[in-house]
Amino acid sequence: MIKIRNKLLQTVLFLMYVFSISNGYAHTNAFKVAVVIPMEHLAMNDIIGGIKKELEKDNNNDYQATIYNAQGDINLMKLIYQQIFRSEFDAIVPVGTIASQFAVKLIKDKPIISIDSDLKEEKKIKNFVNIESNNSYSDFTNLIQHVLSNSEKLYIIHSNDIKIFKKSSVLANLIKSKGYKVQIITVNNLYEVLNAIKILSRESGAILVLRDNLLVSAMPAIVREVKKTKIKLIASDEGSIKNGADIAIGVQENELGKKAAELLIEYNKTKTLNKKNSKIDSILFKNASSSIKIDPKMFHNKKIVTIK
Amino acid sequence: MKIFLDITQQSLMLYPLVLGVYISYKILKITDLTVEGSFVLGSSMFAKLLMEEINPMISMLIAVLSGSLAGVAISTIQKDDKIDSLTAGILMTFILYSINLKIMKVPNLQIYDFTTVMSNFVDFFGLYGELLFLTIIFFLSNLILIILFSTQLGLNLRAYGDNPKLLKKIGKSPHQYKILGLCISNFLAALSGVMTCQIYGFSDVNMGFGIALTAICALLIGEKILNQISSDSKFLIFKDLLSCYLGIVIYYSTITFFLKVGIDPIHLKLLTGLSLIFLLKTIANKSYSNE
Repeated sequence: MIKIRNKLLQTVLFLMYVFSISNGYAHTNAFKVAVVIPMEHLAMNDIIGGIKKELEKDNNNDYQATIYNAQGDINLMKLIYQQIFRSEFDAIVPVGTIASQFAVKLIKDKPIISIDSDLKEEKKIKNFVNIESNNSYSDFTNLIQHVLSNSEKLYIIHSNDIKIFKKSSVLANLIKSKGYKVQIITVNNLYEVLNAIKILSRESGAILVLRDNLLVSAMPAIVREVKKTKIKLIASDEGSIKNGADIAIGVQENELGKKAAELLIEYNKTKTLNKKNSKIDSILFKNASSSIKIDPKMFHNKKIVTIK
Repeated sequence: MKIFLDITQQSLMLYPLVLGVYISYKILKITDLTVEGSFVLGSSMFAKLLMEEINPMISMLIAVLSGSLAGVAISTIQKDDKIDSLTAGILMTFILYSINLKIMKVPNLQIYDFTTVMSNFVDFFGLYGELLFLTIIFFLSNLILIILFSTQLGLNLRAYGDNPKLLKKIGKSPHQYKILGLCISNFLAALSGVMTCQIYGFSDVNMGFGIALTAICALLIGEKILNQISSDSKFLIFKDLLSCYLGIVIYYSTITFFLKVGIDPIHLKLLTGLSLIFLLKTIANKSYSNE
């Protein structure tokens, strides 16, 4: 009898703990948004911060953003989407390609405001819009011509993310056509990233890291390794510069979140999804401690931000 | 009811994979992690063939057979026992990662606008078409395994796991049974990959990451629970198949419960792990007090 009572007590305490740390789903009149992120890192937190901050600015309406983190597990992401499908969300904000693929497959009647994804024929999908920077390949080729001499080699490191995979290969061909030596290095995990950089430490040139979840999350460690060498580190987001990369062309992550929130607010008011206003102007970020000198005339169409 | 359907769908989708792990882990007594690669192999092969405009049914067949080929490859690596099964499985998973990338050319292929076997079911039977298709696969795979393990061939497969030397003594080649067992195991893993690809609408080179551990975990949970209901130590294929299904259902029910109550994402896996430990401990205590 005592044993049964103890077990019951344990179960009740466990359930109380579970409910105490749960977000819960308040059934209010608020506009409910589900944000699905593939994994957690600084850039993701900035995006989420951007969304929440911008939504708070709309004083006329209440918003309730629920964050779902798939923790790099594709099956968990599927379960999350089933949960979203059964819940009363008014809009979905998936971050990245896989989260957006699930959203498009499962959510047909609610707006999907995706951030930084690469879907096939996305313009044909009525309830879908993708927010991304308007970085052009020529921006990167310009920057690389500025940073590298012809005798130096460029290493493009990326993981197997579909968007980055495609971008890297196009960019590599473009840079090769300008007479530079380019080598693409594909990595699968953080250990391989650091190992690749250690191998490159005997070389000179530059490493280019595109907006890549795996590499962005490893940026502090990448910077630490690169600082031991003469290699320059080119990135494509503000966060990487804050972590110590030399130079980057990209966007501030929280701007992506803010843009998503702007579209959410607009949708809440008009009930139509604005598919035209989804690009964010890219910025040239420079680390104040970097030895790279920038000629502003070369980047006259870009806003230049120096980060200390 | 709807949540129950979600759990059923997710469980049925990965059920062949758990069966595959059951054959290698429980029948052959081999820890084979190749299933992680052959799961993606099935999925990537299926997606690629669909894009090449091959008939979905033929694509599905070729994709699952490619999983069997992975089984042949892994058993060849392990021939003469010079490389142990765990090492061979890990190496094979590495090899399959590159092969899968080579097949797809890119890390992710989207197929949600292609006609698949499953989409035909959905067109014909409506919303529950996916579930019907998965149920058919569930019964077919169970039926095949029940027939297999009631024949001499199935008995010899079990003999390989229990005592390979005995097989040799009665004039059978143990290696041949290892090949057959791993072929079936990886075939089932690839089948799971093909179904996952059809339900998800894409194939991704990273989609198999950690899936073998999920399957092993489900297998062990199911076995532990079923052992409480029936303490008969005799080999009963029905009991084993039920334990595989029960295990995967409990695993996904736990995660779905925590998602449903809106748990903070940081705590999700911690709580899933803790509650499964709690469940297994409770069962173990019950077993101890029964004894």
